[in-house]
Formats: sequence, C-alpha cells, structure tokens
Amino acid sequence: MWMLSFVPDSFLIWIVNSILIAGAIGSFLSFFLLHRIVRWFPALAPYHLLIQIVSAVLLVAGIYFKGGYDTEAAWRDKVKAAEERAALAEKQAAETNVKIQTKIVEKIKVVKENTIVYQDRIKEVEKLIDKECKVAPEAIDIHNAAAKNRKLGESK
Amino acid sequence: MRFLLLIPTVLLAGCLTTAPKFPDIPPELQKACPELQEATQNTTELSKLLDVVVVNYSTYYECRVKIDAWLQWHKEQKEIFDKAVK
Repeated sequence: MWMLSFVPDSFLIWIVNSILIAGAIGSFLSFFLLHRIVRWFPALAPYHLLIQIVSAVLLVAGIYFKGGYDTEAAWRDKVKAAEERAALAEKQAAETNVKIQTKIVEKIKVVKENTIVYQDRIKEVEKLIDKECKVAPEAIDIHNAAAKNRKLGESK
Repeated sequence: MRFLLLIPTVLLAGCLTTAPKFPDIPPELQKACPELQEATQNTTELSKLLDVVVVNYSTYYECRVKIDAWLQWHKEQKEIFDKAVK
C-alpha cells in the first residue's frame, strides 16, 4: 500500500472515485433499469448478466479502494506530521548549537581575559614574589610531573 | 537480471523514516583540551612558576566550560529529539 505514496493524491482519488461511481451507476442501471435499457438497446440483452457482474465487481472494488485510500490518506497525514516535527527539531537543534557556541566563546573569552589580568599582576609584583622565595628544583619537578600526569622521577 | 536488483531497492524505500537527522556539534566543542604547561626546569623564581600555574588553571577552566557545554548540549538535544519522535 505504501507504494501508492508514489502516486499523486489528486490522481489517486480521481481513479478511486471513477471506479466507485462507475460501479454505483452501473449497478443501479443493470439491476433496476435493465429491462428499460434492453428495450432501447436490444443488442445488450445477451450480455445483461456480464454487465451486472462487472458493475457489481466495480462497485465492490470502488468501496474497497475508497477505504484503502482513506487509510492511505491517514498514513500520509501521520508522515507529514512526523516530517514537520523532524524539521522543527532540526531547526531547534541548530538554534541550540548557536546558543551553546556563543556561550562557550563568551566564557572562554572571560577565562582568557582573567588570565591576562593575573599574569599582568604577577609582572607587577614579580620582585616582591621573588624577593624572599626561591623555588627548589624538586618543586618544579613535582609541578611538571603533575601537569603531565607522569610519575615522579620519570623522564619526559 | 540486473533489473531484479531494483526490486529490493524499491521495496526498501518503504523503510525510510522521518526521524530528525543527528544534530551537528558546535565547532568549539570539536576542539580537544590543550595540554597543561610545564615550568622551565632550571628556574628558581616563584613568579615564573606562578605564571605557568595561572596558565594551567586557565586551561582547566577552558576545559570545564567545554565539558559543561557538552552536558548542556546533550541535555537540550535529547529533549528536542525526544519531543520530535514522541
């Protein structure tokens, strides 16, 4: 049934309605007015049973297709709604990305600005800091090992 | 015979879904966190060491911003996705 989705809606409903209407009219004429028609067109008399059968088949097929089309239409509506939700989700996801990207850039900018302020302050009080404190090489080793997550004493 | 290959292609077209595509990741989140810096080995000046420590702290905060952003990104994108496929 899903393969019907390749057929345009308007064409499909036209086909279904044509079969249904042809079946309904054919059935009405062949079952209720056949004797009058035969009076005007005697050549149809030998085929009256065939006409009735074809009309009945068309009517039943038309009703069946009509039901099938309504089901197909309901599925198409569901797919359309899902597509709309997906499109909306993609739009929202893109907006969220822009929001988060902006937030990251702003926060990192603040971190970098603060770092510059701290470094400038260190330069300002450099002499004061270094005046009474001499760093032992072991302290540098410990710091560097911690910074690189190495074992103490392990070479680079 | 080659045309028989078209049959599964046509039939599988019925398996197409309408789920939203996986969202892109913000460019800033695609960058790895930088390595921490080491102090100059032979320095005895505390100011030099402090300078490196400050840089390393800022590296940590940059990374923290990114991790927080990853958590926020996942939370918000999940909410959007769940709403779309509900």
